[in-house]
Formats: sequence, structure tokens, C-alpha cells
Amino acid sequence: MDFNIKKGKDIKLNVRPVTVCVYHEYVFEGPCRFGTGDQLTKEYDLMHANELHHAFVEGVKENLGTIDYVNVLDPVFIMRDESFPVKDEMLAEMAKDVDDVDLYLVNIFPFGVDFLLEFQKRYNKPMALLHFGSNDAIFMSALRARGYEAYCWYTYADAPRTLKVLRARKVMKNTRILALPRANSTISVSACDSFLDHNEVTNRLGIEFRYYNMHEFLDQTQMVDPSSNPTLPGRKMDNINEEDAKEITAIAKKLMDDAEIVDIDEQAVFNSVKANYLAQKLMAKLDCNAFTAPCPDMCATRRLNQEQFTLCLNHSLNNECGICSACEYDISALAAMILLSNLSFSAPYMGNTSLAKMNAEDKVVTSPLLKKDKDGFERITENLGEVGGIGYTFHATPNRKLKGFDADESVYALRPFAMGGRWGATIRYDFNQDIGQTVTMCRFDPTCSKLFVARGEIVAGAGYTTENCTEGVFYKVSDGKKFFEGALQVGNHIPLVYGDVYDMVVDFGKLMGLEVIECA
Amino acid sequence: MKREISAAEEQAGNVMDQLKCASARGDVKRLVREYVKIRFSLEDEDLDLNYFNALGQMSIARTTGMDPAEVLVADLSVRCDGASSSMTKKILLLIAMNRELHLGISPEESVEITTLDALIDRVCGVLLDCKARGY
Repeated sequence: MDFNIKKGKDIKLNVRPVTVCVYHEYVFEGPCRFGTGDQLTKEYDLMHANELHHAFVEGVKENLGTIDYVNVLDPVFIMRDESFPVKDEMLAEMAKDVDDVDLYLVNIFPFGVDFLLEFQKRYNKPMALLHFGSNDAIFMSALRARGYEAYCWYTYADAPRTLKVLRARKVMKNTRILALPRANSTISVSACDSFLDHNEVTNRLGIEFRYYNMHEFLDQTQMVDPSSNPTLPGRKMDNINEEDAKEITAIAKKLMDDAEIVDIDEQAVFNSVKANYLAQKLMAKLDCNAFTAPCPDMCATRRLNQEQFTLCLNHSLNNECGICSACEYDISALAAMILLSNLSFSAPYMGNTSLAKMNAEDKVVTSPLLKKDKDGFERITENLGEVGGIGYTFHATPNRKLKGFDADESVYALRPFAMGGRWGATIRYDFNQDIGQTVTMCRFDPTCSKLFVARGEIVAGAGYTTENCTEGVFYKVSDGKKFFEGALQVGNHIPLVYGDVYDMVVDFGKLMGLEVIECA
Repeated sequence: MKREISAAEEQAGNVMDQLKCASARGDVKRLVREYVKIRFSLEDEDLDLNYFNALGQMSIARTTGMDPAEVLVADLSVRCDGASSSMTKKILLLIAMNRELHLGISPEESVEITTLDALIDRVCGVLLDCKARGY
């Protein structure tokens, strides 16, 4: 299925190169005018300015133009004479399409910070500059002292860290969550630790919300006359139809064909894929690009049992195609998934997070669900015998793109969530194959004023061979106590991504004015 | 050193005078190359580098005795306007040629003349075209 959903991972950061140069109308020397003969002519200055601008733009294209997530806009070239004018037409020239510009990469020879400050007074846009002599210190301290956003890169090698963080901020501002409440549109029964105030989330992070009644959603999973839904009688809705069903069948078949092990029947897989299909259909219709639903609240209506699906597979399939999707209506976790995923360019994983062992001498203590595979758990306990600072995360929502959106799909199995009825397809992933992999985890606190970030290394996996909510990963953190205390401040579900994006998460937190709680 | 510079200037002037009288592409090419060689203090084989940034760096290497590979790193601006020495050499060359031969290379066009061959083409285009028209 290819719904036209504007995914965060496809958003690019628009960078405009700008050169601000000085040329001299008159031939003279002085404390800031050097040269002999032709070097003191206007002709020289103009040629020189053009050479510098050209070299700068070529450098930007060579170093940033090849980066997938960057869009280098047409350059701007501002030339001023030695009276250092700041004219409206010059500011307007630099400000063309200003709303589309995410970052100005500036190049000033030899003066120009005064001009940039005037520009900032009107437009207040992020600016960056490459290290050059004294310019960088003048630029950075002058702009930041006045509250403007400024970055300096020693070389282009330093640029990606800034660019990815700024892009993540842009993605947040362009995120619209399709949220399916049951009784409370802010929190769910199981995720009271999610954000308290969605208006505050919008103000701080830019994320928007589109609430959609979960019963209306469930009605539309039925292949019936779309104007006959009990929740919306007479209104033609987006029910799954025969054409959708053909596509769903094909998707389900491929999922089963590509799996290493399939321990669930085709109808059950169809039902789970159907839920995902409708979710994406509605996201496309409502211009949304992220999803959450309150599975325990929905479960309690008994309608999921009636429809014979859970939303686990839906979340896995969404996450692996760049549509961040969170369980339990946990929007704090969802925001963290969006951040992590868009820094690492890989699919996130979320689940219940806790500490298995704080100190080396402690016994491994986990949810009983992770002990279902007795032999597996015994192996984990043995292997972690002398290791402290072990955390774990578990939910039946792993996916096949943990290693990157561009990576090959990982090997997986398909098993049911519901053990009795054998429905609710879940992807099973063996985290044991990734022992040694660095992961980065983070979560926003309920007030959206704090951001907890931790780095871990995978030490074990659980659940590949079992069913239900037994799928999970164990990781070593640098300080079990710090991890424990950090988690207590922010909440249960602490999503993770593969890769080390720790520093960028910290940068993002500081950029957004959040208190960053670290467990490096 | 001053005597060497004066001698080079005189030599360059002589070549320029010959260039103004050149009427065939082959002569223009030979004389422009000679002129650049003198102005940049290069050897004949250096001219095959063709690109002005490379010619400029070789010029600095020849003048200072540095290894050409180290020139790029060392050619940091001592001016706060960002001019590298090789960039300065090229610009001064174009200004001089504009003045002597009325080439009319604008600041915007100067950026596009990145090679000795491109400069030769420009000189041919102006000089030989003028001569063809009887100027």
C-alpha cells in the first residue's frame, strides 16, 4: 500500500548559502585595507568577492548537497561598499522565500555580522558559519548574546550533528498524530505518565493532534456499506472495501511468505494487517503521519476480541516505514520515537522499560512475561551473572527495520498475541543476534519539560520463540542507579533506536529548552 | 630580489607587446602561456597543470621553496578578507590582461575562467575577432 503520507523521514532541511562581502569604491589604504597596486582597485574587490562566493557555494554543494536529508537552496550574494550600508533591498534579497529556509549558512568577508544582526532582528532564523579566523567568534557571541540561534562548524565534518538536530525539530513541527481515544483524549488507563497537556506539547515541540473516536475506527474495519456504521449512521465513511481487502490479502501473504517461522493462520494475519491498512488510510485522509491508540482501553470494550486483532502488527508496520506509532496511547513515548527515529534514520522500538539488575551482585528481576521461555531466561540469567546496570524493554512490537530504513529487512517470525484464540499477529525478532549493538533511548516527562536520555549496549533478547507480550531486549547501561532514577522521572515506556544518537538527543533537548537528564 | 622582480616585469611587458600583435591562434596560445609562466614564476612543465588554483599553488611552491602538496594547507589568508595567495595571483593576472588587451572579463565571468585554456580561448576570442574585423 502506498498512501500519500508525508513521513518525517522524508523531510529535508532547507539550507541557504549566503555570502556577505565588502568591496571598495575607492583606492586607499588603512588599518583594514591592505594591498598594493591593482589589489586596491574596485575591479579586484569585485572579482575577489565573486571568487569567494563561488568557492563557498561549490563547497556547500560538495559537502552538504550530497546529504540525503539536506536541500541546498539557491545561494544569495550580498555585496556592500565600504560605507557598510544595510539597505531594505539587501535584507529583502536575503529574505526571499524566508519561510522555506530552515538554516542560513553564511560566509562573510570581511565584515558582515552587523548586516546579519539586522537581518535577525526582522526574521530571527537559525544561522551557521564555518570556522574562519576571527569571524566565527564574533558571529557566535554576537548572535547568541542577542538570543539568536547560531552554530559554528570547525569543518564540514561537524555539520551533520547540527543539521540532523535541526531536521528533527522540523520533523516534530510537521508531525500530526492520529490519536484514537476511548474516554480520555490526553491519557489512557495504562499510560497516565504520558503528557499532561497536549497544548503544551504543541507549543513546545510543534506536534499537532487529530483525535479520532476509537469506536468509529473499529466500525470502519468492517467490510460493510460505509454509511451503515453504528457510530456514524448515514454518513459515508472509509470502511475497508473489496479492493482494500485484495491489497490486505497480498500484504498478509507476503508477510507470511517472508517470515522464517509462521505460527498463526492467514485470517489472523489478515485481520491485523487490516487494522494497519485502515490506520494508514485514515492518516492519509487526515494529513497525519504518526499514530497511537489505547490498546488496554480498547481491549476492555471486548471489541478487539470480537474483531480478532490487536494493534501490535500495526505499530510494527507503521514504524518500519517511517510512520512512528506508539502503543497504549503513550504520546510521550511517541514523541521520543519520532525524535530518535529521525536522528538515527531507523525504525524505533518501544515497550515497558525497567531495571533487571542495578548492581552486579543483584539477581535478574524482570516481568514474568519474559520468563515464559524458561531455557532462554536461564541463559540470560547465567550470561548476566556478573554484569550490573541491566535494563530491559519489552513489547510485542519489534520491526524489521531496526537497523535502518535503508537496511535489508531483518529475519522475523510471526506469532499470535492472543494465545487462546491465536489472533493478533506480532512480529517476533531475535535481539540475541544483536548482542553488542549500541542503542539510544529517550523519553519526555509528563510535563514536556524534561528529556531523559540513555545509552545502552544489547546483551540479550527474549521472546523470539514465544507468543504474547514476551518479546524484549536486555541492554547494559553505564550506571544502573542513574538509569533507574532517570526513568522514574519520565515514565514507563522508554523507546530505543539502534545506533548512538545520544549526543544529538542531548543537543535537541537543550535546543528546545528542556532539562536533559543523562545516563551516558 | 627587486632586480629579479623588475626583470620579470620587463619580460612580461615584452611578451604582452608581442601578444597584442599576435594574429594566429597558435601564437596567442604560446604567448599567453609564456605570459602566465612569467607572472606566476613557473617552469614550462608547470603550465600543464592548467587549472589556476593549481598554477597558483605551484607558483607559491616555486617562490617559497615549499613542497606543492603543503602549499594548500599553508596558503592561509593573512588578510581578514579571505583572499588566498593563489586566488590573488589569478585575479591580478586577469585584471592586468583586461587592462592590456581589453578583454572585458567581468567579475562574474572571472569565476568561470578556471583554466589556462579557458583564458586562451577568451584572449583568442577577443584579439582574433577584433583583428578579423579590422580593429
